[in-house]
Amino acid sequence: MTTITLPPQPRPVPLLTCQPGAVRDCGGDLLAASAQIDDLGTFVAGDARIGDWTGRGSERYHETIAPIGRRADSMSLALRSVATRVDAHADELQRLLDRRTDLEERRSHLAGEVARLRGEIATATEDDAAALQAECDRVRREVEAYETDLTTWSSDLAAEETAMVQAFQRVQEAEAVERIWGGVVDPADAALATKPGSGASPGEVSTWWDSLTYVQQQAIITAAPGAIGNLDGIPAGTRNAANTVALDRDLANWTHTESLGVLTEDERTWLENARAADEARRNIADRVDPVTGEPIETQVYLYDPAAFDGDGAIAISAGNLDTADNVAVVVPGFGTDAESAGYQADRAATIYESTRYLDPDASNATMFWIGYDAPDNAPWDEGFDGAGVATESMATAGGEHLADTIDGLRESRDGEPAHLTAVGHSYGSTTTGHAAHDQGMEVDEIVFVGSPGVGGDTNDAGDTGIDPEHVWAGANSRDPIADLGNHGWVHGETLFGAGLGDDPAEDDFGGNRFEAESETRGGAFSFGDHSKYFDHDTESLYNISQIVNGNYDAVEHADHVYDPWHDGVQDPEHDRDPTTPATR
Amino acid sequence: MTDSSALEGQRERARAAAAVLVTGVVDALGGSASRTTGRVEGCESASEDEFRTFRYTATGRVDVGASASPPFLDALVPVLEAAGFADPIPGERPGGNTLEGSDGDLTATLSELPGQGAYVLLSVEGPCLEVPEADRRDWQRRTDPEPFL
Repeated sequence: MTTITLPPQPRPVPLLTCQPGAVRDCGGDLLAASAQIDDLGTFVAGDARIGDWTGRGSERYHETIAPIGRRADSMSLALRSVATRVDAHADELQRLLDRRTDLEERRSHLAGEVARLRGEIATATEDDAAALQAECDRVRREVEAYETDLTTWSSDLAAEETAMVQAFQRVQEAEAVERIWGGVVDPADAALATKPGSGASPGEVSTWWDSLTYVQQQAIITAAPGAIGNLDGIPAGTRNAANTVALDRDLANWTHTESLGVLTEDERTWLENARAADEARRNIADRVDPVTGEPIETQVYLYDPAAFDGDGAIAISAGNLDTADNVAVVVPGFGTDAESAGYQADRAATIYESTRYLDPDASNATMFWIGYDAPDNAPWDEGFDGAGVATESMATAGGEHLADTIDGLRESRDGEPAHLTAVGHSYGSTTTGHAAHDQGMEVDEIVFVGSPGVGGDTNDAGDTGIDPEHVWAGANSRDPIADLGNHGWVHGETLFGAGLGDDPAEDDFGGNRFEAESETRGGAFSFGDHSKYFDHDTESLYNISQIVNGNYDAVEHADHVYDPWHDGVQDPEHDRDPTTPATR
Repeated sequence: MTDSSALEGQRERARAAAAVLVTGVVDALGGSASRTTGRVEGCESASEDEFRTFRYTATGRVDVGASASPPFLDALVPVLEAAGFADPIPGERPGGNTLEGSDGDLTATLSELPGQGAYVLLSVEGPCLEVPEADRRDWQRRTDPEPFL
């Protein structure tokens, strides 16, 4: 009787319980702490020095603060080095987890193979023996390869943990920190000295950034996040890293000051804006990509809690702005400021989900952009009188900022340019119109939704500077704001000294109008219908998403608003039954 | 209008059902589950700052075992039925297929996208519920980071 030798059972894969995301958050907290301490060093080297104070008291004072500044600088560099190592540790843990998953699957498969062979051997005849032994030998070789990889994985894990422990041990004692980092020049200093001036173009900024070494770039992100976080021409991923450091630092600083009861009124406003930014990034990160099931990537592209006299400026994307095939920038309108960021983040995430759902093969990023000073006099708070006094000055200024932002997005990307869409909602459509008309904003598509008018100088789609085939308008027939734009011969600017320009959904304007009715619309004008354009399973979101994805044939067109000389404004969409196309 | 307890109840039921489903999918197809989390999502906007209605959505992903063969959804009808989602209906989504069933006011959807990889996505969600106006901001800010499984 022939003996058949079974392959050995593969060893189980040891458990690895860790959360790389939590480790990465820890690295972020350390970077924020490093930035706080760096601020102390900068303060001691600058504002804390009193030039017109002389005498023994002054000498003693300056002798005392100088070492504090030096210790702060060395501690900041030490913390930065640990934070960088912790971030790398998070990446390595994720790789180890992925490798463990692969090993676990191989072990499960091989255990099944061994069990199968055992069963076949039990019922085999002498004639089967040779073939079965060959099969056993093949599986044995696979088990041996698995065992080798398992051993490598275990030793890699041990080496990584040892390296992480050593990184912490290097900075455990103050003396060691001073010995290693004392007197070391911050690589950020020389790099910042070459930074282009305030009037530099995004292209010049991009060239400067690319000329720096990796070490210099990382140093600036931590030591001077404010110098690059909101600078057009810097890649979105880098802006996100800098703004994350700044945001975490501000939250830690002002929350601590608040707990001491010494927060100033300005600081309270900035803290509220910082908390709104924090809420916004979490709102996006908590949601999952409808194609992969993985959390949606966020990028904090703009963070300035003190901008616009405390209204604040925040822009955060759902998706990667540096690499996405399709990028949409959503410009909100009446009544929005930094405190609106949480809700605007939900909108951005919803558009992201819809664009991904409708075209799983394309990558996307959608950014809400609270980057201009929008009117506070929202019509739903103050009635039509409030809207009536809205003028275009804020849209004109905002349009300049928006065009710069678009330039920055284009300039800082490597490789293929994105298919770029600007989506202006409400007064944001007026701002978008000005960015296009006044500044030559370089986008591929312009989408106006719920528009009260796209600016007095934009008389038709061609005035936006892009092909009218790529100018789009969505207007819910029950949205009173969308009815504010000029129709026919009635022009608000000329009649009342106010008004925001032409209705982009009208036939005379010459753009495309898409279906944007809501199943929950009322029977008459309702301000509630002004806010439904970005809700899931609505005509509007479906069509906006198809435009953002460049799937023009899928867009459901609507008949234009028109204004015959012999009658009032007519909206053919008023009597059409709304639909609910799936967007998720 | 409902009080907020209805949405709390929806959350509990959606998470419990999703946990049963994920376990069932892994039992049927092998592999491993990940991203088993849930969240409150706004449905209908009320203004530029807030939603009028909300629902809870629990989601997860199962990377199927090496021995599972597509279409994966064919093996998951009994899983849905065993979890109480009777008479599942097959459907399509861009780039893939779905299997959807209902249990009371909860809807469970399983989907696979053959061009993207060997995994099954799962979601369990309830209907959109109106919450008291005073509670809207709290629901909007609500986070739910703990995995349901």
